[in-house]
Amino acid sequence: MTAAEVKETAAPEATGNAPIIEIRDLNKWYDDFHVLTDVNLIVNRGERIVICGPSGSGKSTLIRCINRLEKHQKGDIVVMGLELTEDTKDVSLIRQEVGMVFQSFNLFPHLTILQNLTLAPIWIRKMSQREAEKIAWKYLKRVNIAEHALKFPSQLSGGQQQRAAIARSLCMQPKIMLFDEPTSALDPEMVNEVLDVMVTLAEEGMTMLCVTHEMGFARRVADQVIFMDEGKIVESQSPDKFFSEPENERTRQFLKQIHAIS
Amino acid sequence: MNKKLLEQLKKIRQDYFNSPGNAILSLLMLFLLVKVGIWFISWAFINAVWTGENNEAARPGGATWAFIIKKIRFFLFGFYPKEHIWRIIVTVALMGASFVPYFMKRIHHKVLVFIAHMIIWPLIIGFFLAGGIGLEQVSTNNWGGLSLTFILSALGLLYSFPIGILLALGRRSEQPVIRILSTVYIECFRGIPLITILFMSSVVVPFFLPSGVAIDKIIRVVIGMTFFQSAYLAEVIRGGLQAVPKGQYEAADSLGFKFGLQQYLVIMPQVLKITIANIGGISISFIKDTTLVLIIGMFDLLGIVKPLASDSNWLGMEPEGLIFAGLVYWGICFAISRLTYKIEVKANTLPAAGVKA
Repeated sequence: MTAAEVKETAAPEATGNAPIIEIRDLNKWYDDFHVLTDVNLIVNRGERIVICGPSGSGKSTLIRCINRLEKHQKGDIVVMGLELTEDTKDVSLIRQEVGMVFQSFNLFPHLTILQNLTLAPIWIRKMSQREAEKIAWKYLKRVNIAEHALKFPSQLSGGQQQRAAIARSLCMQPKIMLFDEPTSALDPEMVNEVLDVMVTLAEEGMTMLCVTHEMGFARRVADQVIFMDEGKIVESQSPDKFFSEPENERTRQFLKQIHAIS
Repeated sequence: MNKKLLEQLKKIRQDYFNSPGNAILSLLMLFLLVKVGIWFISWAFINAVWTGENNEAARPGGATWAFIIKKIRFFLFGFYPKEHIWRIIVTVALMGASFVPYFMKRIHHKVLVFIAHMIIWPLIIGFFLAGGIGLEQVSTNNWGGLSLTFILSALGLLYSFPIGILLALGRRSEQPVIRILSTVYIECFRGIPLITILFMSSVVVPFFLPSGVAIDKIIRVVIGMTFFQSAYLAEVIRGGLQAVPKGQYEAADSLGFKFGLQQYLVIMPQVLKITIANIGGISISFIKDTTLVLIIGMFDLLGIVKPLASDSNWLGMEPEGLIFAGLVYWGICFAISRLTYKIEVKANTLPAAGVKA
């Protein structure tokens, strides 16, 4: 699959007004454990969604279903017009368009930061090394770690590694970015440097789904804040409403706990 | 007397002479060590004979290294005809030269170089050593000595690596058929002694071949050894695979890598790095295992000692021959051990795989 073909596949979506992600009646089980129950979610192009909720509420599982790191058992997930099914070809096509940032960074330890960034563009987008490096440097500068480009991941701090991981995803020039608790594994003083990068990204109009408890971030960039509990979307609101007058009792309790901590 | 020496003496007294019993034991061991040492040095060097035409040159209480020197051609090249020995040298040189591409920075697809090796090496060996096309044919019965050891080790390791990697991946596959087949293969070949496999390859396999079809003994031995070694390597590599965190797979998945490229670019480099020491160790034991071919009548470096010492001019020269063969094996294995260590150190100056979440 060449880069041109990928673009062609994605092209009809790029101009349309259809939602970029549609999730309908999503259900997922781990053996007998019902992780996600009847989840419905529509994400439009350029929309920023923050998902929060207590641990075990299924929020990470939900976004991992969007690039099929997790398989769902019932319901439909349509990403950029392609439905996620057992067909692996579609899955890797979608993964190329959906960037993901993990809690534990997951940089490739045997490669330098620069190589981490160029690996997928070279091998999957079939870019030349020069072209891939050009893009890589652009994003390295954007996330402010250009001076560490030739180091290995383990030589960087957590915050630097997470910024590198964000840059690695961006090098594939994705249409959607998924963030799975990107700041949870970081020392407190490094949280902001990562959030700043995410805010910039949001301001540039990237479609983003972030699982995070950084409520300041949610307030600042989110179009929609979703609260999940026990595998269900309990509440979905604009940030203003979500923080000032949450409708659901469980949301109120959760917010109270969060505020008690921070 | 300086202070350091005094402290060492004190430590020796504490460790070896701290009771009358221990003191006697220590002195006895020291005496034995010195005695054996002196005997060996006088046998191997002082009383040794370095020149001579036959075993009449031998001196009591001394090694007859003249035997090794006179027979060195056979130790190196077996019973390969003297006028064709250049062919062995060319073969070994070409096989060595084929490693050059791995050290070239410009070549990115080293896996292709490896596949080329798997095709080119047998061709080189077939063309130069076996002959038949353009060169006079030399029966594999005449192959022997260190060059046979080298060829068996090189081919065995060459083929068992890729097969071992595939088996390791197969054993972790989500496809039940592949997983079960790989597991059965690994457990079968790990459960059978190499000698049995070699016997089967030399005695049983020809029995089942249709008449008129003959597969050369060398090929059968290499195949048998590959079966055996790949099963062992598979387990070493599987251990390495288990050490790569799940997040590495997920990160590669999320960038759009499919299985093959994911393994090649992300997982295997980390696995091989984790397993360098084990792979080095297993390579050493494979090389030593090639000596078992003497059981099926092949004269590798070890196997050739006996026929050479049966030469009526050199009767009774087995000790010299065996010690020489042992030294050569030790030298080869020590070199590999050092090489592995160097690679490991070099790899560890880069960050370790998988650490730091």
